[in-house]
Amino acid sequence: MIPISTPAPVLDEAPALVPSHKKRRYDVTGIIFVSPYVLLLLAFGLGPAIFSILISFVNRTDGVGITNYVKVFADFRFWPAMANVGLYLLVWLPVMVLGVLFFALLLHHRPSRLGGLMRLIYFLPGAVTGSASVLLWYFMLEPTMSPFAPLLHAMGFRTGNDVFQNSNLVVIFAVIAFTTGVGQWIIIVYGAMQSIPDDVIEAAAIDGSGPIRTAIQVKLPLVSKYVIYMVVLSLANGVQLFVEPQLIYAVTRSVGSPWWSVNQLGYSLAFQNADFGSAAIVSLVLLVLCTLAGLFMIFKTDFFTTEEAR
Amino acid sequence: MKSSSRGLRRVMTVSAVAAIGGAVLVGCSGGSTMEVKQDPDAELLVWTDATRQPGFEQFQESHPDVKMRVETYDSATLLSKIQLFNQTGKGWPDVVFGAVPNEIASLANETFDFAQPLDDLIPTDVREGFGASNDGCMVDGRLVCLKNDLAQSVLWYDKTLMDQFGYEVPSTWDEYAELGRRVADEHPGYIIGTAGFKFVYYDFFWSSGCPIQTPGNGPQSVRIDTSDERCTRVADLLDPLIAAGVVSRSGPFDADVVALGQQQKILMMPGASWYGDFVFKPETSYALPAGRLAAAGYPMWAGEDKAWSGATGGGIYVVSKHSANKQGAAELIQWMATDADYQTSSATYPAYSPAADAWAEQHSTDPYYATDPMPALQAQAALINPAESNTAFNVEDAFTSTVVNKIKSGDTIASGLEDLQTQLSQLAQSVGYIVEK
Repeated sequence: MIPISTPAPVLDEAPALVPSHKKRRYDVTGIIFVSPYVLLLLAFGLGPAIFSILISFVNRTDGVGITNYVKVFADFRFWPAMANVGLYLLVWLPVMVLGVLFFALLLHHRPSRLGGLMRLIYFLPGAVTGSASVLLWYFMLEPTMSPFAPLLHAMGFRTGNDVFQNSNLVVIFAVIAFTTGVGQWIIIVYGAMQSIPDDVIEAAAIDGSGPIRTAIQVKLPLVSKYVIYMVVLSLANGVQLFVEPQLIYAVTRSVGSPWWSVNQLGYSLAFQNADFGSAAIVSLVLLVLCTLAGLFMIFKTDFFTTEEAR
Repeated sequence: MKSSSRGLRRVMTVSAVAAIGGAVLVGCSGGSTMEVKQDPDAELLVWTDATRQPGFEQFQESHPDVKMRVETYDSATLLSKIQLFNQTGKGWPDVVFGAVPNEIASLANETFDFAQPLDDLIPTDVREGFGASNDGCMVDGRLVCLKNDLAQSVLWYDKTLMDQFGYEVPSTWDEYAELGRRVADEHPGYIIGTAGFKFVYYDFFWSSGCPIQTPGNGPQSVRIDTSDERCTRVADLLDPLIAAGVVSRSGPFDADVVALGQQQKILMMPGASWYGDFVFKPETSYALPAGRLAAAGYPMWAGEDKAWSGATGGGIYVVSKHSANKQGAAELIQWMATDADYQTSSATYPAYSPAADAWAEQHSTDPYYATDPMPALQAQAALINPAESNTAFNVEDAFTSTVVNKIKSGDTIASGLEDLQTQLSQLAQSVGYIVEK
């Protein structure tokens, strides 16, 4: 099997897929195909990671040692930033997973002419990403400018001050991330469901399984791999939260802070304090978190065993 | 399995690349402090804000033989960009207009190592013309910038409204508070100031002399003590007025305060000298009609013998240490800061005394104002509280995330002072200050 670097939402190999740990002969073609990716991984992935491990021990004033680590973990900004991002992930990830599955199952349940249109509609908000979506949401949530002002008023929000409070930031960022991210994952998970063989669904129906039961007990286990994939990538994305808090702080001039998220703190340390050693530690914390979460989900969850035990 | 482990690799790559992208730049760090060879014909790269851009263009017109390139930049990114250039060892602008005067402390320190000492480049008589205005530009006894304008706080008020309501302009903060209570009773809906923005530091804490950026006794030391009486009296003054609704929980640029301005419901506003032309007058801001606005001297704190102002900005000109044409750069900033023609027509109150006098003369007859605002502006220009100095740590962010945050979320200033102390102290220590209390 030649590794493909673009994840394709195709599942035809899935039912037959057996994890193979057998030593196999590597042919030249495989090496040629994989080498550009390995080079990029070294240049932009492993290289910088190793480099940041090295500079994390270098302190401007005290020379080489672990003072940076002591400093960062005692910094008054570090743990609140970790808590902010953690809370954000707790709110956003479950909503994201449930939302994606709900819409994908809905799309898949009864394919119709509208299906194509619906896929497009789901996908569209994803076209507005990053800074543009933050500004879009700022205008939608600011009661003095929003087209949804009456709704906001009904919810008790009269001014921007009422909406953009530190205590609301987690929810606001989760909403932004959900609306921009959900579309593409619906398409991917829906694509995965498309490749579930019809006879499996029919067999379930003959056995008396209703649509909800089919969805939960037949379709979900078959696409679980893609759900895992989504969670891992979304988690990696989520812990790096940067543009949203940075822009909201810049626009409102008062909500959040330049160190609301972990990534922002790293940026502040590097470019406001010129403390690249400490900034590297913050990045390494993110790297370790992402790696651990990825390993946990792959080796410690039963998504795969479910699939194989079937 | 295959695609998931691919996913993992991808995750690792993505997170490593994204998170560490900035850090890799340190690899190119040259850290060279070598003297740059000087060339009087070398082109000058100028970074400015939009307000000062016409000034640089005017200089170019009157000095066609000077090679220069003027670019506007986002002042919020100045330190980051200088830091990046320091890493790559090239790219620095020769001349910078800095909108945040506090940043000179960073720009001149060893870490940033950017600001060129100007003692030998600016003639003594010119330096004397600034009086005390350039005090903030003195770092370790050396002049490292020239001040463009002063942003001394004055008490702006709507004379038409004050007359109509029969109120006297307060001259002490006690009178201000007393008047605030009357406004709350007699004319609810009108405001006499704002507190929900980082400017609460400049408008109130600085004028009160609260130790926030107060020079300490030793070198590299700073006094920070938010439990000082000069800090708590700010909370004592404002908290009841905020609770009564006469001092807004929003900032002067927030949509709801702008709306109040346009409805002509701002009775008074303590604020910088530039508020008249830049906050009250513009159509897109409060759009207050001509003939209503006036400026009074700043109210005095009980127990003080002077009516101290704070200072909300007041731009600076900095020459780069890395410039190949320091003499040319110095001449350029000297012209910008002192040229009578340019400064007289400039948008803000000039820091250079001769230019300030000419500016005052021209603006005292400005028909926009109900009465001549110049006596108040000129008096307060000499009364910027010397308690605060420029520091290599950022004060605004700490104010925003503590005191301002409390105000905005319905709490009191007093409840945010302890957090403010913690944050400021740690920020100061993180860049190498010794904090005295």
